[in-house]
Amino acid sequence: MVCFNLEQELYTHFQYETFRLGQKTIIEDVLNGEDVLGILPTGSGKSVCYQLPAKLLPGLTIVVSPLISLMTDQVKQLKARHYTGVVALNSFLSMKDRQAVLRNLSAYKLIYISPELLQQSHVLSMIQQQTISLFVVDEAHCISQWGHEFRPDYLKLSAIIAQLGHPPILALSATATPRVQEDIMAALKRPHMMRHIFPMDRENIAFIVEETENPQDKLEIMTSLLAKHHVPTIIYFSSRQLAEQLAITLSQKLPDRRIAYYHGGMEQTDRLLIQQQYMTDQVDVICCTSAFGMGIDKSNIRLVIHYHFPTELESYIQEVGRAGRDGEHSVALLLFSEADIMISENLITRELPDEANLEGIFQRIKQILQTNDRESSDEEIAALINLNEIQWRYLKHQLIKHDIMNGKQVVCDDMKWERAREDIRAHIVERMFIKRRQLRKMIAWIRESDCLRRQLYKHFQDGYTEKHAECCSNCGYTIRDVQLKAQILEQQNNNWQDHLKKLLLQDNVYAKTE
Amino acid sequence: MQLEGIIMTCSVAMREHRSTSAIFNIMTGKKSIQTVQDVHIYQLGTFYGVYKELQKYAFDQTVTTMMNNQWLRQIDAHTMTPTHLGEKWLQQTSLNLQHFNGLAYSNVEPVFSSRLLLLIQTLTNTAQGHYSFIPVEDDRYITQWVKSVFKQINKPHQALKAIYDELYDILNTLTELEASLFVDRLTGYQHYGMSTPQLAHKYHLDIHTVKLLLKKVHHQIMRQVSEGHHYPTLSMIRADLQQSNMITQSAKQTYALLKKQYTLEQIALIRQLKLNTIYDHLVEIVYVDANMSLEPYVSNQTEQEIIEAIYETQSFRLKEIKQRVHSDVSYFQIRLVLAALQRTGDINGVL
Repeated sequence: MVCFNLEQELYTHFQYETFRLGQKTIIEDVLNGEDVLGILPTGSGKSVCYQLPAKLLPGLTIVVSPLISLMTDQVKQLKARHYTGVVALNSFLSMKDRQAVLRNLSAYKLIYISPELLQQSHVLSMIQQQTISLFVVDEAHCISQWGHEFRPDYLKLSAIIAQLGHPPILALSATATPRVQEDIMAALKRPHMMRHIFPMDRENIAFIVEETENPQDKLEIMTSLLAKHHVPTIIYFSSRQLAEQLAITLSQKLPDRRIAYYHGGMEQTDRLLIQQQYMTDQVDVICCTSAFGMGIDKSNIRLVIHYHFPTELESYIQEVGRAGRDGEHSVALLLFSEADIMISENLITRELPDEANLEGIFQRIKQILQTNDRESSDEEIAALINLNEIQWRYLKHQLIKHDIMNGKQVVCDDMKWERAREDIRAHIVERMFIKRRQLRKMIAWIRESDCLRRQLYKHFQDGYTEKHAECCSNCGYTIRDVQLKAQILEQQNNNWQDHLKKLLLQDNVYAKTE
Repeated sequence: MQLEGIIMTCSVAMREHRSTSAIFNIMTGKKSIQTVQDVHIYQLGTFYGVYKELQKYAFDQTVTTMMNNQWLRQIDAHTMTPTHLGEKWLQQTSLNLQHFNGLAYSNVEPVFSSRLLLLIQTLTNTAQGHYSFIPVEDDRYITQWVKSVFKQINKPHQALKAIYDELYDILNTLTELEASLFVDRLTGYQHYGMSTPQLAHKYHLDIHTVKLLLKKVHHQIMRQVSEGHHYPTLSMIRADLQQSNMITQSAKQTYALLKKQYTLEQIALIRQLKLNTIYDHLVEIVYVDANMSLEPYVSNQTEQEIIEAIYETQSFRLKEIKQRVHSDVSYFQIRLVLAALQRTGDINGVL
């Protein structure tokens, strides 16, 4: 048994007084060398479950994480807390920086790494020389074909874990149905993991599905709701362009609200500025795509609006789970119109190349890649093949996997091309089938006549918290009933002279007024 | 309107002699001898590299809009020339484009401004006893620099007062709009600066204008800091940032070998480059080194002949000049003489 005073250690490394639900039992099992599967809701502080053990265990802790932005966000936040010995290894790091980290591995306690990089033999051999105390699989649902974010690279993890001498594993996810949980344990070849499943049901969130006729309806509902409730709000859109447009329209209609937009197409610095403005309550309302929210830990978000619904329930649960993390009453409002179904179907088809046109697509790829001697970007190649970037990235990944492509080089073996094409075709068909089924489930939930809370969580947990007042629109709660705790405002500045003085001389530091 | 202004100014300087993409290459700071020559011949150094992140499609879009406004007229698929209307617009709009100084600052501007922004964020936070914050810059070289400077600062309050005084002084010489954009972009304690789209929205500007105005402000700060002696703190931020006059790295290496008295042919061998490439480097070197003698490459007599041809043609076009000199005079020699004339300023009266 370990004998740490865990509360004390938590305070030393994170300045938190107490553990959140689930953290302590998971950490205790991890420190005892058990294999652990932890299912904790978004925003419950999943990452502390390995960040604290990393400090306490003798060797190195490795975290495999699917999203580079998520990794770098986490490292930034840890560094801001003066948590040392942590680094993110990914393809964004220059070769030189990567080598420097790898040569100096013993200086680190916690390493975030992308699954792609972990497969490279020289990277793996450097890591093999260290003692690995804990191998963490973050977003573990990515390992399952049935998970909503299946990552083929994750399937190779069990082989890597074997090469690292079978260290204890901690697999974490926020959204994993019992079936996906089984998949995770099977794929990691650890059928006897300690399971810690915590309900994702958030009883302080009320759900409202509102039927609308057209975009004008949606705009009016949002405008009147925001006018009445001055609270931190996220509005999700399925397109970058609409997020931008509506941010501008809403600012015109509500000039006293500070409304900004955020999406993956923005410059890195601008994204960071908007995200932090939202964190510091300089911005009230964010109009965004699903790119916003990952790694954001803002406790006082009161209202999450879906202008478009996402293409699967898991994403929806994650997105609404950002509301009310401080436990205060919050509202998730989904604005639905029949026309949105078309939009979602288009979204799904845009994520994968068209299976029916695969011959033509392959011919173009062959032509372009075999004759192309320029240093073309993915963007340019995608345009030449007449695919969007997501489709091209998918295909590129598949081509590399099938040994057709290596860097910018392609093989000329026609047989190999043909075999790969049929393999990929089968893969696309299967993925499309899964995606369509997920979408149907999402739409079925929107059209549900039973309690929305019960139906939303039934796939993910056994029971759910019965709630009588402020439950959902099927239990009699409507937009007119919404009551939310109002928000504080930051003072605005008038001219640059005053602003500069306040900012640098700080004689009147951004006083917040009630 | 800054982008349109720069495109217009370049068009007026180059007319139909150069393609529109030459303007794009100047603004994005292309490291080719052709762009180097354009910058010197048409005296467009102020705009060299001022907008490195400009995308070709955005540039093309702006050019199309200017054509639709009838400020530019199409000559052929690749070439535009300014219209009377366009020139009038340029004259009547006060864009203050002369405050750009790309040739001097475009390479060091991003480092200078990133250091300044992160230093201000660090000092304003630590002055409040707040040591945990998400930095607006995470480039390793920038954060390391700020860390090393921060260690030498004992009293953040005093450093902030100094930065305030110096910035106030310089911002006061700028337009209200420029100063406001700069200050709104700053991040301090519990206060993050505005993003480019937010600034564009607040001041009713387009994104290009916001970006270019911010760069122009940075250029102006750097210029005033290097000219004046009373900006010790800001000087410290840019002290080690010296922009080389030589644009291409490769030309610098050739220059080093040239100083060791190697011939051009030997340099080509050593560097495994074509002789023509070494010629390009030499032209570039002549632009920046006033002591570089043309003697080994062009005889006095040939030089005179070329100069006369330039005056006769009233043109910088190599082909036209070549037709008026002896057939054994090479393009390389003509380019060398042109570069030398340009450097000394003798050519300014020609056209």
